[in-house]
Parts: sequence; C-alpha cells; structure tokens
Amino acid sequence: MWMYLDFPTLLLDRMQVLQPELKEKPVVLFHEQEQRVLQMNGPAEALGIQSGMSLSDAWLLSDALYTLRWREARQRHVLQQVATDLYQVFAVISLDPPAGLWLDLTPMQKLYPDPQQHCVQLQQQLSPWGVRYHAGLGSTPLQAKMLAQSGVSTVGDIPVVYLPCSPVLHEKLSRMGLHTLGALQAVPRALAGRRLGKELVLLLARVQGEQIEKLHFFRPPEWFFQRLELLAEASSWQALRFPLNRLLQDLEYFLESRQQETRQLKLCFHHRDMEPTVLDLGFAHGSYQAQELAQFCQLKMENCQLNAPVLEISIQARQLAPRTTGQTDLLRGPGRQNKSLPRLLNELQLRLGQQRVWGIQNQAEWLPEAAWKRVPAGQVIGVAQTEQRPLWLLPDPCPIDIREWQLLKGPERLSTPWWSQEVAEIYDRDYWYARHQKGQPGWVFYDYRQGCWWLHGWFS
Amino acid sequence: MAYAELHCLTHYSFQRAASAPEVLVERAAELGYAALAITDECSVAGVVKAWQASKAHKMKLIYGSEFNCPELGLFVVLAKNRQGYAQLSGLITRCRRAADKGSYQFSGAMLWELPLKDCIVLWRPTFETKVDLSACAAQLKGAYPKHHWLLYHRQLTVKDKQQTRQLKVWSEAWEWPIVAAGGVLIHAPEQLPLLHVMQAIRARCKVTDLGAKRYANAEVSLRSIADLTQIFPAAWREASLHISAQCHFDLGSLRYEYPAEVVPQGFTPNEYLRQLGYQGLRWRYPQGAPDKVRDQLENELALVAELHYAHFFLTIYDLVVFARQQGILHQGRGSAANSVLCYCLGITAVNPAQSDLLFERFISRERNEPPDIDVDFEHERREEVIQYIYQKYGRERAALAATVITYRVRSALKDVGKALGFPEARIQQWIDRLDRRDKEDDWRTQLQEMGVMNHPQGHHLLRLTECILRFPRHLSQHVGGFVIAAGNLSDLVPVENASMPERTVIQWDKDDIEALCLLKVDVLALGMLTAIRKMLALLPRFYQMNHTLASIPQGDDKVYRMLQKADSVGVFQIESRAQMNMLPRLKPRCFYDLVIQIAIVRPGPIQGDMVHPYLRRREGKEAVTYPGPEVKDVLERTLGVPIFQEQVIKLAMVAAGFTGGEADALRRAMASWRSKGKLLVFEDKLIRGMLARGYTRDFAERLFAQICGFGEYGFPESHAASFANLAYASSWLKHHCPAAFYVGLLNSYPMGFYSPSQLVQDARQHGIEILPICVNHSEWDHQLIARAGEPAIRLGFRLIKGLSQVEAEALVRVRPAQGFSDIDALETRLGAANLSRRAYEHLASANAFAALAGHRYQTRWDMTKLESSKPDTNQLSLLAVAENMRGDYTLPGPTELDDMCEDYSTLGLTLGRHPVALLDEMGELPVHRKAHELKALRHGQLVTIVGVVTNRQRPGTASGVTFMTLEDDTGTMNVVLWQDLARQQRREWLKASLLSVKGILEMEGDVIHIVAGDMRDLSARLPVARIKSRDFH
Repeated sequence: MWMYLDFPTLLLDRMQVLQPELKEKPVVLFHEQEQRVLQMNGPAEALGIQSGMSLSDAWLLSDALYTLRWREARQRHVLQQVATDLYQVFAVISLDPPAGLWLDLTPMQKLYPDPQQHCVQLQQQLSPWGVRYHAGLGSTPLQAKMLAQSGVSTVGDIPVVYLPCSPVLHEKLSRMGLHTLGALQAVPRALAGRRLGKELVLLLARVQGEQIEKLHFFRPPEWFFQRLELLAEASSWQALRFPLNRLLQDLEYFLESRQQETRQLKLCFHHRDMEPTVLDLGFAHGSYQAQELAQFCQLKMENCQLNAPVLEISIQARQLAPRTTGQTDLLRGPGRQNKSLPRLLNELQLRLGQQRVWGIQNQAEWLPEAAWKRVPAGQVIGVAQTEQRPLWLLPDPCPIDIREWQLLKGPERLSTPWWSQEVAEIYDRDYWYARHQKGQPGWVFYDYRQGCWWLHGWFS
Repeated sequence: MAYAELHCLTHYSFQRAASAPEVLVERAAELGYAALAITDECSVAGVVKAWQASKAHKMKLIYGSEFNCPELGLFVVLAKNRQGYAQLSGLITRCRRAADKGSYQFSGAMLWELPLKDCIVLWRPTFETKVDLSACAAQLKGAYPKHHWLLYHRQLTVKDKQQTRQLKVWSEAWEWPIVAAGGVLIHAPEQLPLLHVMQAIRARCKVTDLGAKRYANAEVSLRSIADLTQIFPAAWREASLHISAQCHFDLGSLRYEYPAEVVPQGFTPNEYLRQLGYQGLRWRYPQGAPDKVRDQLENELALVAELHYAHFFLTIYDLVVFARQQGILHQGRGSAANSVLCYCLGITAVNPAQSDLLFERFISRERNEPPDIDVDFEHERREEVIQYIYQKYGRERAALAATVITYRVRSALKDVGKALGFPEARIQQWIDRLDRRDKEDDWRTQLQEMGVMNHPQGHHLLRLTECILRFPRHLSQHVGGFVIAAGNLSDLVPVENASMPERTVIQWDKDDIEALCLLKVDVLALGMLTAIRKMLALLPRFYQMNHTLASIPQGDDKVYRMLQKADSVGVFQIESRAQMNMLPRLKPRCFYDLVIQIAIVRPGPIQGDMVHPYLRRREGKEAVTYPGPEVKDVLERTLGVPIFQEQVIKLAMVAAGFTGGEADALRRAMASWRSKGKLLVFEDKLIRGMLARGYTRDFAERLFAQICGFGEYGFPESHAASFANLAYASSWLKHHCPAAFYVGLLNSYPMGFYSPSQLVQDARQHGIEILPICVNHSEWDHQLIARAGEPAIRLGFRLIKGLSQVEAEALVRVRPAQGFSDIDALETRLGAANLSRRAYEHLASANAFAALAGHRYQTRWDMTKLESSKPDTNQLSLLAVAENMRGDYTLPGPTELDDMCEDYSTLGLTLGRHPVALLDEMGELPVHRKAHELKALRHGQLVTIVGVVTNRQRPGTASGVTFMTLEDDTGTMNVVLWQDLARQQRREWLKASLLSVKGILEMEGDVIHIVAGDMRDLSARLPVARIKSRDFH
C-alpha cells in the first residue's frame, strides 16, 4: 500500500510560515525562464490567478501582485526537510522532486491496520510545516500519485491527463474519447498495445503494479556528528585536548573515506545544569587533517573562557565539500604550490578575524581608484590592463602646488563614472606624468570639477 | 582658426554612436565648424536627415562612409562630387550585398582594385597588426594620387604620444600627409552615458563590465575649436579645410530618373499617357463619357505633363496591366488615385462620376509633392507582382524602401535595463505591468509608481530610456514601397540585403525618399481583394451574373438598408464593433456616407471631440453653421465638421494662412510622430493665424485639438474613398450573393475581423445551410453548392487544423467521382495515394468519415496504429493493419458535448448546437435572456445574458469604456463595461470564455447595449479550451 503526498505550493507555503506577512497579500512564485506562475497563495487564487498562467496575464489581474522567483533548489531542500521529519515516523520514503513523495505503508500495516490512522499521524507530523498537501492512497506508487494529483477518489475516475506520458499519446487518448483511466482499462491490454504502443502498455503495467517501480529510497542527509562522553569531568582546555583529538580523528577518517573536506566545525562542550559552550570555527580553506583541525581548535579555545567543567563533547561538521586540489598561488604564480599559504591565511583569519584579512584583485577600469577591488583572501590577483600606472598609488590623492611640478607627458583624460552617482554628471580629470622639483616622478591630475591639482601616485 | 570635421558617425551606425544626424549638424554649426562629414559605417542611412538640417543651419555637409578592416585599420571615404557619391554608394552596395542583413564585407583591396576616382581616402592604420602596411600604402597612393591622407584622432588617452610618433614615422616613410579628425560618435559630452549604454548593448553586457573597452572620456564628441587648436598641430587642422574644399556634392542635386521602358518607342511619355487615358475613357464609358469627366481628364493630363509625372503613372499602369493579365484583383488609393486618369488607366475602380466632391487634391501644384498612389493587390498573390518588378527591372534597378526600426518604450527599457545591470526578469515584470491600455506617454509615471526609483540605478534607467527612444535599431523592409531607377539604383542610394531571402532594400526610408522627391511605387497586400475576387468568380455559375469590381451596381438602396441595420459582419472596414455601433446612427444612404463612416470611427476624431457634432448635425439636432465662407468651402461636404486629414490641411491654408510648404510640413508632422512634440510647434502659428483672420479662439483651439487627434490615426479622404468602394462592393455581395460572400471570405482566411466560427454563425443566421466536412464531398477550399435550388456551403478541408493542403488535394485526386463507397475502398485508394497516417487521424478527428464509418472516436481507433520507426513503411502497412484490425474493439460514442469540444479543437467551430444552447438544456446556466429577445425589451430594463466571449476591445475613449461581444445561439450581444467595473472584475473581463452579465439594457434606435453591472465567469462549465476571443484589436 502506497501513499503519495503532493505538495502543490510547497515552497510558497514554507515561505509563508517563515514570513507570515506574505499571507496578507497576493503572492505568486514564477518560473524565471518561462515567466509563468507556478505557485500562488490564497489571495492570489482569489484574483483568478492559476498555475501555468503567464506572468504578464497575472499582472493584468492585479497591480498589487507580489511576485517572487521560484527556486527549484530551495524547494528540493524543503522537500528534503519535510522528508527528514517524516522519516521519524515512516521508514520507507521516496522523494519525487520537486513536489511530491511516496510513503510505503506496507511495513507499517501491522502497526496501523487502518490507513486512516496514517492520515492522522501524517497530519500531526506535517502541521507545524504549514504546507498544503494532497494525499493519495493506492496499491501501486503510480496509482497513489495520480490519485493525489487528480483529487478523485477511485482509480477508474482518474483523468488520463494525469498519466505520465507524452503529449502525443495524451492527444490520441482524448481523441478516442478515452478520458479516464477506467475507460482505458476497459480496453483489452493487447489491443491497446497494438493501437497505442508500448509506452501505454508499460504505463498501465505500472499502474497495476505488474511492473515494479524503481524508487530511490530516502536517507537523511549525511553529515558528521559525534558525541563523546568524558570519563571524568574536565575543567581546563588542556584536559580536553586528548578526547577532542579522538573526535577529530574520527572526523578525518569520515572525510578521508568520502574524499571530502570541511570549512566549518561546531564544537559543543556540555556542562552540568547549564547551556553548553559552543565554539563555531570557519576556515578560509577546506581542511580534513585531524592535526591541522586540532591546531585551529586550539587557537580558538585559547581565545575563549571555559566557565564550567565539561561532561561531554560533540563535534558537528556540516559544510562538507569535495576535496579541492591545488590552488593557484597568490604570490608565486600558478603551478608552484605552497602548502603553507592556505594554512597561513587560515591562521591569520582565526587570530585577526575573517573581516580583517583580505586579498586584492585587478579590475579593468580606467579610474585608478576603481582599478582594483577587495576580494576574500587567497584569490588570484589577475593581470593589470593599463600601462603607465604608478607602482605606488596613494590611498587618497593629496593636493599639490603645481608650480613645484614639471608636466612631462599627457594629458590622459579620464571621466568619472556616472552610474555610481545620483545625477549622471560627468567630470574629467587630466592625468600627467610629471616630475617634482626634487626629482621624483609622480602621477598628478587636474580635476575640472574642483579646479585644482592633485598627486595620485609615485613612479619608481 | 577653422576646422572641418571629416569623420563623424550618427546613430545610424547602429549601437556604435549616440547622436542623431540633425543634432550633430546643429551642434557643428553652433561650434562654428567649416563643414561636417557624415561618415556612418558602410552606410548613408543618416544623410538625408543631416542634409535637411544642413539646409536649416546653413552648414556645409560632406558625404562619406567609414569602412573597417581588422588587418589594415579604418578607412573613411569621402565623395568629392556626384560621381564620387555614386562610386561610394556602389562600394557600400557591394560590401552590403556580399553579407547578411546588418553586416558588410570589406577588404582594403576593394579601394584600389576599382578605384573610386572621385573620392578621397582617409586612412587610420591599425597600430597593432602583423600585416605589412607599407604595401597597402603604396597601392592606395597609386590609386588615389593627391587624394590620400592619414587620419589622426587625438582622444586624450594614454596611448596618444606613442601613436602620434608612429603616425609621423609612417607619414614620412610613405609620403602621406596627415589630417586631423575627431572620430565623432556623440554631439556633446553629456551624451557619454548613452554612448556607454550603446556600447554595452552592442557587447551584450553591463556598462560596468565593459572595463577598459568603455570610452574613457567624452573626447569622441564634437569639440570646440579652441580645444582642437590645443591638441592638433595647425597644419593637420588646416588639412581638413583643404579636403573639405574639394568636396562639393549636394544631396539635393540628386535627380531621379524614371525607367524608360514603360514608354514604347516613338512616343513621348505624355503622348503615350494621353493615348492610354483616352483609350480608357472609351472603355469605362462605352456610351460616351460625360463632358465633365472628359474635361477633368484633360485637366489632369495637363497637370501631369506640367509636373513631369507621366512616367510615374505609366510605371503603375504597367504593374496594373500585369495584374489584370494574371487575374489579380487590385485597387489603387491615395490622392492621385482618385482621379479620372487612374480610373481610365484601370488603377482604381472608384468611379469619379459617383461623387465630384472628392477630387480637389489630385496633385498639388503649389506644394510640389510627389503624387501619392498606393496599389493594393490580393494578399495571396502580391508576391507575383513583386517578382514581376524584379524580373522586369532587375535587382540592380529596383529595391524596397527601408523602414527604420526604432526603440519603443518596451524595447528601450529592456536594452537599457540590461546594460545598467537590472535582472532581466525584473525588467520584464515592469514591462508586463505597463498598462497596455494606456498610451505610451505615460510610461515614466507608471514605472515610478512601480518603485523603479527605489533601485539605485532607477533614475538612470528612466533618463537613458527617454534618451534612447526613437533611436534607430536596424533597417527593415518597407511593407511594399518600391523605388525603381532608370539606371543602377546604387548610383542613387546603396542597396542592401533584407532579412527575407531575395529581397533587397535601399538605405533610406519613406520620409527620406519623400524629402528628396524620389518616387516610390507602393505595392501592398489586402486580404479583402482576395476575398472579393473569389466571390466574383462564383457569380456566373450560381447567380447567373458577371461582375467586376467596377461594374457592381452602385447606389443600391437595399444594400444601404442592410448596413443601416449594422448587418455588416465580414464587410470590408465597417465590420468592427465600433463601426457597427456607428452604422445605425450614421445610417449611410450613399457612397459618400460610407467614405465618412470609414473615417469617422477612428480614435483620432473621438479624441478631438468632433464625431458627435457631425451626427447631431446630420440628424438635424444641431444647426449647420460655418465660421466663414472659406471654411464652408472646405467643410461643407462634412456639415462643417472636419473629418478628413485633407480638410485639416486645407483649413490650415485657407483659415490660418499657412503656405503650401508649411501645410505640407504640418501634414508630415501629423503623419510621422506619435508624440505631440512636433505638432506643438504649429499650435501658436495656427491659432494666431486664425485669430488674425477673424475666427474665434474657441474654433481655433478646437481645430488644433482635432489636428493632435489626427496625429496618430488621421485618415485621408482619398484613402477612405477607395476603402469605401471595397466596403460597398463587399456589402453588395453580402446582400445579393450571401453564400458566395461567405465562401469568398472563408477561403481567404486569415483576414478580417471575424473568425471562421463567427462567419459561419453569421451565415447560418442569414439562412444559409452549412454542410459539414465530408471525405466524399469536401475539397481543400470551401465550396458553394446548389442544394434543393438554394446555394449552400460545403466546408472544406482547409478548416482542419494540422492537415496539409498537399495531402488534402491528394485525397481529392484519387477520390472516385461518386465518392468512396465504404471505408475499405477509401483506404485502398488513399493508401495508394501515400496519405500519411497523421492525415487520416486529422480527418477522423474532423468527423470527415462520418458518412462512411461510425463516430469519430471509433474511426480514430480503427485508423490508429503504432508509430513505425521507418516512415516509408507507414503507408504500406496501413492497409494490412486496417484489414485485420478493424472492429477489434467498440468504443463508446461521444456525447453532444464531446462532439462540440472535438469540433472546436479540430475545426475551431461547430455545426452542432451552440455551446449556450447545449449548456442551457443541461441546466448548467442561470436564467437568462437570448440575443434575439433583447429587441422586444424596454430601455432601462435589468437583464441577465449569457454568451461565449468572442471579442474584447480596448477603450478608445478617455472615459475608459470597454466593449465586449457575447454570442449565444440566437446572435451576438454588445456589452459596455465601465472602467471601474473592468478594474474590479478583471478576471471576468480578461479571462472568461463563457460569461454571464447582469446589467441595464440601453436602446438607442437600433443600437442595443447591455451596460454591465455584474459579471460571472462560467468558463468552467464549458470544457472547451479553444474557443478563441479576438482581444484588443
């Protein structure tokens, strides 16, 4: 016995739970490429908006429409979350992304002989999620799915449009007046096969359960979590080093076997009668070696006060990623790997905080102050586009007395970017290669807006 | 201190430059330039506009073009004189014709292999090349002795110094002098943001992602002489003057020459035209022409001779003769078309004796404007006429005029938005939300209300969108305007490829052509002509009559009585909802009433608030008065109310003292601009002129409002008259030969205002029997047949969606004269005729086998079999399958509702009961009145009606009224919807296919409306997805 849950507005429902103010206004989620409505809430439905309608038609129905992009990945994630939750009650779950899932009720039939009991169970489990769903109960997965989607109560009444088959076949069936599954099933199977093809025969076999569905069974997502009970209470970081290392070794084994690495680690130190102490660690570069991870933990712990004796430790690593191979070297150019640089960056970030360690990168822009940008540390610097730029650019230009300078080469006229200003006014600067009376070559400019001269950098 | 700019691009170098030619000319004049060269990239598309501006600003203009070659660099070719211009135009044509639409193919060798002897070459060699430039330098020097210069742009970039040095080295080594130029892309520095946006649009990226490719400064603008003096050595600047002095071509000197072959040897054009004219007079008036007509012909011939337009008439005559020989129906329209001469030449069928009120504007001597004749041909056969033109004159001598595709609000928002980095979906949403019912003028306010300004780039989006509006995007082909030359057309204007294969267009549009007084021949397509020819062809056999467009009896009261009742479905032009509402009010009684009827139902006159005065005066509810005798002359035929474009122009002349030239400018402003900007220029002059001549301010202001209204939709009387002729002809056919009328219309579909379903409904309401599609009787086209002595219509296979004409005709070919006796016989024959299985299925769905087999479900079942992987075995195996499988299973038959759904989805119409009748019987509908009952009800009564929505119309008036048409089994009903209700009940208004409307019945004479108070969407009870309404046409 199978139950199918169809979630027609899964993502939107979920968003409304998290942002209740959405419930008040007409909201639709739309498919970005097709510009069609996929999901709509109650107020939107009341305006006459239907799934599949083009967004421009929907706009015609209401100016006040609130439109959001439908994101498939997010919906899949919600589906997975729902499944994870249901997994506590239902052992055999199969996902049918992006909007449905199957529950195999057979293993539980002894426990709950009446399917109605499942429904109660289900309702309890799903009510906190606030998602609309239609359930269908069938002897095969496909039956259950079509019943859920069509909302009819018996298999024979299911309109054939719910059969998962090609539009050509749908067209053929409707042109023969075979509008329901019952009408179709009345036709002897061999005849239907001869007239309408193998696709249909296979489908009917799936409906009847003569052909077993290949479903992938759901397992909750894998991440690393390990909890360790200390044999004795520990009241200093020093005393925790050894058990922590054991946990980290387990983690290394876990990551090694999956060829993964982590960029984040959560350490929980559980105390008696009070909230646990939690340390969150993030790294600029993924790591998997216990020794390295232990050093980072050490650094973090040194900056933190341990307020009570510890009974248990747990570590959690969630952001697992496939292990990356060689990164391009920041200073020595590509190809020559310096293993310690990522480590150095990790250490710097741990000591100074992530907000204080940055890299820089060249940008193809005319204006010198726009010709570079700040990027997360460790990225490639890129090649500078323009020649004749001073090696030393002053952080801010400083005013100069032009009489102390001799203009040698120029001008190079640069306009200020209009798009970053309120009003699209353009001001020019004339840059010159110039020599100061003391002999140093500098890069000076005349600003037409301010009508004065500035020094912007020094040539070597 | 003087300077001539020799290298300047306009926005006709699409997405490369960002200023209009006329603006550049104006700015150059302000800056005191000695001359300006317009040198668009492989194009002269902007020169006519520049030339017009140069006359106004007394600026010397030089004509040239830029060509780019990646290995060699950039070349600017300037024309010294008329020959040089022809050579340049030839080169552009050659480059353009060798490449796809929008691009060109150029190589440096083109410049020296066929030297353009009367041109000057300026060369900006590329600074990064591996090719040996000195070879090119030597070749060009040899080909252009004393006419070769190195071009130097100094745009204040970091590379200036190095490039100057390099150029000097080349100059000395090759002995090429240097000339300074701006490489101008914009007229002023403030245009730089727009130029950046153009760059981004061209590169399909954001402005901020252009990086170092983005112009670093605004030095590509027209710079002041003082600035230029600072950055260029004097000798290089003076060189520009030296070159400018050698160029003295003026676009105004272009002379159009007519093709000679339309005049036989031994005749002058005028003699030949005269001979044809009088020949035609005898043909049109076999009993002898009235003196008045003869005099008129003589006058017209004299005027044509005086203005040298004989060739023009002969060229059109030649096309019309071709069409007549091929049996292609045609009709001319336009001011010159409504003449005795055109009637005698067979260009038009409008008999000038019908109304002498029309012909005051044959050709205007005082305004020296070229004659205006558009010729409409049957839409299915116009291509034959076009091919005839190409064949007769050759591709070197004939090409279509261009249409400049420009930025409109939506396209501008899209492109600018993308360039500014707005997400595409966001822009699309704003565009979708722009109210389609409002005019485009309002877009700024609407966008602001949507919160565009909350975005940091919002104000840039609005400002730059505004700037880019009406900028050209690319050249497309004009709908049918041909320019035919005596010699090579490319001597006159470059010719390039259109996107349609085998079509070529010139680089100028119709305004350019008009400005230069070139002549174009408009070869247009009109569906109604196709339909009328098909109707006329049926008359001899079924109605024992023989008629041509010109011989249809005029002034038939019965026909006008039909129109007075608004019985005009399918009739040309006066069939729309709005026209139908006007018919019972205007009550046309004669041909000229039809001319007015066609022109009066336009958004223009309604906006100008002058339609109702005409009706009031016509009904005698308002006195017919004229503010003065001159005005009376102009307006007498329309009871003192201006209705036609010509009247407005004429009024401007007689009442406000406009000269011919000014009136012509006014006409142009009315015709070519959607916005009122250009018209406002005339407001002051018009009103002052009228006040000075003693007219009241009220009358003057009303006239101006009228002109503004005309701006977009104004209809010239000369066109209305030709249309009225077709409207009358089709009405006459509808009244006297209704079955032929519907067959002609249905066989010319798609055309007109109504769907086949609506036409068939109308035919049945006129008592014509419609017979279903039948495999034994139908043909591809619908047929007129005699049935019990009455004409009836047998529907044709062309109605079946998905069935091809080739297959339908194959079926007809193998069909025995007495029809197929049974389904076996049919399959044997059709199998042999290689009919595909899809075709069978389509026929079965259309119930075409009903006469031979069971219901359509069963037939389809019997005829369906597995898709074979080898297509060539399809037909063979069908026989075998059919033999041993038929009847293997019996399917239940369709219900009446099923049949209706099938009919709609395969044919788009049903001959079964109307959906409303069917649902009524099933008890699915609320209590309601039928269309035919409404007449008997009281004005002001509350009624409920139910019908299928067949038409929705956007509001044409400021009051915001929308019309909807509902259809039930007894007829159609007009629903009037006030804007408030439309807003409240948008879903019902916009989406319902079956609607119930509760409202107040309004009767005004024969006009019946229901003013909607409440609507209910009943679409869910109608399981048919494909009943289509025609919306917002």
